[in-house]
Amino acid sequence: MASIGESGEARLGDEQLPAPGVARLRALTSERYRPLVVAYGLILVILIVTGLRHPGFVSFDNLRNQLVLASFLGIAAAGQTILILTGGIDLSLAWNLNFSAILMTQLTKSDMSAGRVTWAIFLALFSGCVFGCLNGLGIAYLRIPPLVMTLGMNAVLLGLTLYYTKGTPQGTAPDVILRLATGRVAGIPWAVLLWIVVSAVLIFVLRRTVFGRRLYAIGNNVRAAYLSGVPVRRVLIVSYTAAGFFAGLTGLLLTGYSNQSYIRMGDAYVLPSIAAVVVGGTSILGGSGGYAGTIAGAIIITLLQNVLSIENRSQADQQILFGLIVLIMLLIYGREAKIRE
Amino acid sequence: MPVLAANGITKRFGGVVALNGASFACEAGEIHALLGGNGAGKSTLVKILTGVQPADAGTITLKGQPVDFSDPAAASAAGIVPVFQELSLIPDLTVAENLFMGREPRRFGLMDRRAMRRAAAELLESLRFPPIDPAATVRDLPLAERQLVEIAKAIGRRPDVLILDEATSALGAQEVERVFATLRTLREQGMAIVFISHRMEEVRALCDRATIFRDGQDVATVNVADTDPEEIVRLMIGRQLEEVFPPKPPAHEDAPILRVENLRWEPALRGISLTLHRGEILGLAGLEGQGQGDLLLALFGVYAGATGSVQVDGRPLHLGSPAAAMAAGLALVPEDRKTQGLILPLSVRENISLPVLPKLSHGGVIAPELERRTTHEMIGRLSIKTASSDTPVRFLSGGNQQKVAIAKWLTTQAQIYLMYDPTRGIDVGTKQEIYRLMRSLADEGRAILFFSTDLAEIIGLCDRALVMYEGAVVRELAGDELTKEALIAASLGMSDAVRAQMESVA
Amino acid sequence: MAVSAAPTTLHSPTPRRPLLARGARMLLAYLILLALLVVYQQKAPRFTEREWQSLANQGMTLTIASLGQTIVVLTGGIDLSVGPMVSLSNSIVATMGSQESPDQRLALGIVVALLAGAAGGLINGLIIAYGRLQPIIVTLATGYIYAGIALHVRPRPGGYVPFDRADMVTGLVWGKVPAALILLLILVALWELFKRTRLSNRIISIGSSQGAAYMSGVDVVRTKIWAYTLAGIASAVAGLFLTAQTASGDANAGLVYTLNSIAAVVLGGASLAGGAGSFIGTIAGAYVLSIIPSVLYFFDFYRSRPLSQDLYKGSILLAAVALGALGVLRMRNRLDRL
Repeated sequence: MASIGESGEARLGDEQLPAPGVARLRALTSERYRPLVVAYGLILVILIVTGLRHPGFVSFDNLRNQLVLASFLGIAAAGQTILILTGGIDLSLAWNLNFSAILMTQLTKSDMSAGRVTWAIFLALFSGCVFGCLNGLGIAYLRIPPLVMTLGMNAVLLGLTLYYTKGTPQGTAPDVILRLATGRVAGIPWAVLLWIVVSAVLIFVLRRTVFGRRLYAIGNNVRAAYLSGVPVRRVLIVSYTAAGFFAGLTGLLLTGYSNQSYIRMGDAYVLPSIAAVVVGGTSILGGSGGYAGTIAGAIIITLLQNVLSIENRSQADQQILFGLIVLIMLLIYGREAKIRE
Repeated sequence: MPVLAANGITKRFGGVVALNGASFACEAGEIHALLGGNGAGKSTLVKILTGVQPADAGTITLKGQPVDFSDPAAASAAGIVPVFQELSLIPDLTVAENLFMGREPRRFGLMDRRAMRRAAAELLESLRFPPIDPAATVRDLPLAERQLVEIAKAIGRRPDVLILDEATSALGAQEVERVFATLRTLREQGMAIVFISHRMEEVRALCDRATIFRDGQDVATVNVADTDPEEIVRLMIGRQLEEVFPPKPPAHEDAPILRVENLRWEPALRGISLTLHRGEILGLAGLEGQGQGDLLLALFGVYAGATGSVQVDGRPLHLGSPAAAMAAGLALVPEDRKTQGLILPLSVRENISLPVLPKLSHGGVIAPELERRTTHEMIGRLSIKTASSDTPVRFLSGGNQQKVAIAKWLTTQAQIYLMYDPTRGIDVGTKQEIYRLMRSLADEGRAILFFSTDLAEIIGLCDRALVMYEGAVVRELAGDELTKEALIAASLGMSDAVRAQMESVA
Repeated sequence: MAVSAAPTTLHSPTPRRPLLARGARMLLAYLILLALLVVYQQKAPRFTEREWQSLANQGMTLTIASLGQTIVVLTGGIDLSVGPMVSLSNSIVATMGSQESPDQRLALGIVVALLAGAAGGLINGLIIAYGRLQPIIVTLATGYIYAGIALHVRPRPGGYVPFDRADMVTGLVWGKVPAALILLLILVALWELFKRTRLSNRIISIGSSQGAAYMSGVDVVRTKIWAYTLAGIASAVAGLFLTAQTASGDANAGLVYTLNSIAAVVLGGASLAGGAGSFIGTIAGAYVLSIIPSVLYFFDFYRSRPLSQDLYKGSILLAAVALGALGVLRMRNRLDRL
């Protein structure tokens, strides 16, 4: 192939570009990493400020406990991150995880044999995937807005759960789930280890795989992605299925943590999971951000709840502070979105 | 004194000069045409006159007073009302509501819809337009009727200056006649009308004077009745551009690589047949919006329900999806690089590798070294000027963005390149590089099907050209026939009689 | 010289409305509502004004809250703070109520609740319009804040609501006509009035085509601020009705109305993309969602599992939007199907 490079640099300049080094620095600081710096910086600020007021807050035990709680939110927000990156959202998280949790305890309530437990765990996770996949089918093929599709699916799952249990779920968590949610190995909680694994896998998938790259492409510009041969529908369906899987996994963990499944166990996770993603710097419009930010978002939200309870603040104050933090983070991150237009 | 005068208007978009000290004046009671090839600057001038875009330099006076509009509403309030091709109608409101947008008749502070409908009916009636139900929702109207409503909406504001920018392109002959009759009446009443159309015959039928634009400047203002059409065409073409194109190979006949028969996607494509050979650059000419873009999209599998047969290297291609077209060896550089060709927030590397990701990965995991090497190869080969391969594409200049939009297809080893105006809005230096790249691709035995709004490109670059008009190929030109006169005549849909007349004069 | 004979259109044909979209989907909502009412009438042991009263009351709070959501959805936005604002209004009125001079306290409470709703909506609008941020996430955040304020006002359920006054909007007028039905008629009249304001046209304009609205001189920022403010006021009014219904204040009682109002609006035929929708359709959507439990109660399969009502609500919502979306499969430009 002939090169066309001979025309020379001098004639190429349509516009002045900044020097390569400067541009790279700017790209790195403003683009990908600024939200991360802000979010992790905020964690540090919370730790220092609260630690000075309440030394017990920064004790190893407390932080370890907080990390366990953050891992639940973080895993719930893993699916939410994937979907928000595609420009979607999952409101069915609450009851998808609740249904999975209840499915497991119902199936094992009279039989805790290893085979039965394995089967129940498999079914619970599978059920999460199935409902996630249904979301994906409606969104990818019928172009139902994700908000409406997952809202409707949430109602269906809520009804199914209550139909199935008549409102009083039975059974307790199998040992393995109990240990996963509350146990430790070498002082490290299993839940945190699981979160680390999930994080590593998800960050790897988003950054290094074909699927991850296509996710960003779709979230940024679905038409350009389609015209570049990206199988848009397939990627969307896989994404929603994966989000369903994480919902199911969260359901199992929450069941283990309280050693039972109960009604409305997922309600407290929907809006915080979205907030964790946004606080972590992922754009609600899709296409920019990533799970590293969500990890920070989940930790921030969990720590804030802890801080406010240490400070003896009411739930009311927690919510107000929550809203303000999300708004402030939005205004910090939103600035860049404006330039993009 | 002219009612509207623009003096020394200059407008740049990035490094590209759209208007370079252009001037123009329009009297009350005249219909004044703006003529010029694609990219001559007339549409930009209209946008500046109507407050859609600010000028970089120059003055506008309206009825002797200098004006400077901050937005379309300000221009409209001052008496300059445009009708654009891209509609300003609200699809979900009724005809009457659209006609009276912002000046709704009110009773007791509320909109009086009945009065509005009555006034709308009266307005449409007074314009002698075909009957349109004022209570119909605009979304439900056929395009032609929407365009009539758009025109009526502008006239209803009783502007001092009415600007019609390709505002009759969707109308049938009868409707055009009625609009023209109305415009003539308005002229009698002292309105100044600026008229832009790609149909030369409409200009001759309607306009008193015409200002001809070329390369961002006004080159002449003529009385339409006293000027021969070929004179106007000559003014539009102007001097010869310096030769910037790579030399064409001598005429030769290679094996066909793409064969299209009777491709239809009504109403945009009305039975297109063509053959593209290896090593060939085949131009699609004609004015914009005659189906060239639709042809490329249909071939790339974007249009459901497109019929006809397409063969690539003798194998039938099912027009089912871009992915299928890519698998058959096609590549598309689409019309709008910002919304279709590129993903602006993603990096140069991510854009270039997107179509070829499966080949740059093992088991779904991208091989970073391979990706980086491929990207750097492309950056080097196309001299893409970027700080690094990780720079988001939106930080690149227009020309370099376009290079990325092309580079992403070189990695797929595509054999057939479908390109829609790949050099639009790009500086001359980069254009030449792209020309050379296209020729080198052809020399390697690939084929290019290419639409350009720039006649010089079609003539200078293409081995052969097909002129499209209203969804069909109306002429095929090759070798010595490939001249500006022939292209323009065919593009404007001039009848054979006119063409004969022109040729005899020439 | 003759004008060239051109075909009528050059471009793609007028996009056909998707099957069952818009008006047809509203009709579908009314058909479902009618079917539910017929079944109820057939199954109910009696069907007197008492039953009418009960049914009318059941859907009222959601209807009013969804009125606000309809306005916001018409602009192409969404309001996730509807529920918290219903709660806030409910908490304010019940908390300000007092057995001493109940009427004055109630009137004052209503004024404060309405002002709070207007202020909340205004804040939403200002942040969304001037900050150019996404409505979904802004109202999610402000929703947290309003819910927090409601909890401050009313940490535990309770408060005082004068029964006789509550009865005025939830009872029977002249012992015959449900007051809620009269209220509904008033709301419809208000909606018709609203539709005659220029504001309503502007709201539809920015949802239908923001670019065309700008070209037509619409002030996009001001229109958005108005829309969210009106939605805030509607949520506050919904909170008032909820107070009358429950005769108590509860900072959590309103939260369900966020998602239910979106469901009602969508079921009523509005497009979340903006520009299309009507309160008239929303009424049907809200009442379908609200009276399902009452109707299902006559069936054994449901009575044995009375908590599963959302299963049926969700199924109806999904079925309706899926029917409305079938037209997507017929779009000729595959880029439009994405």
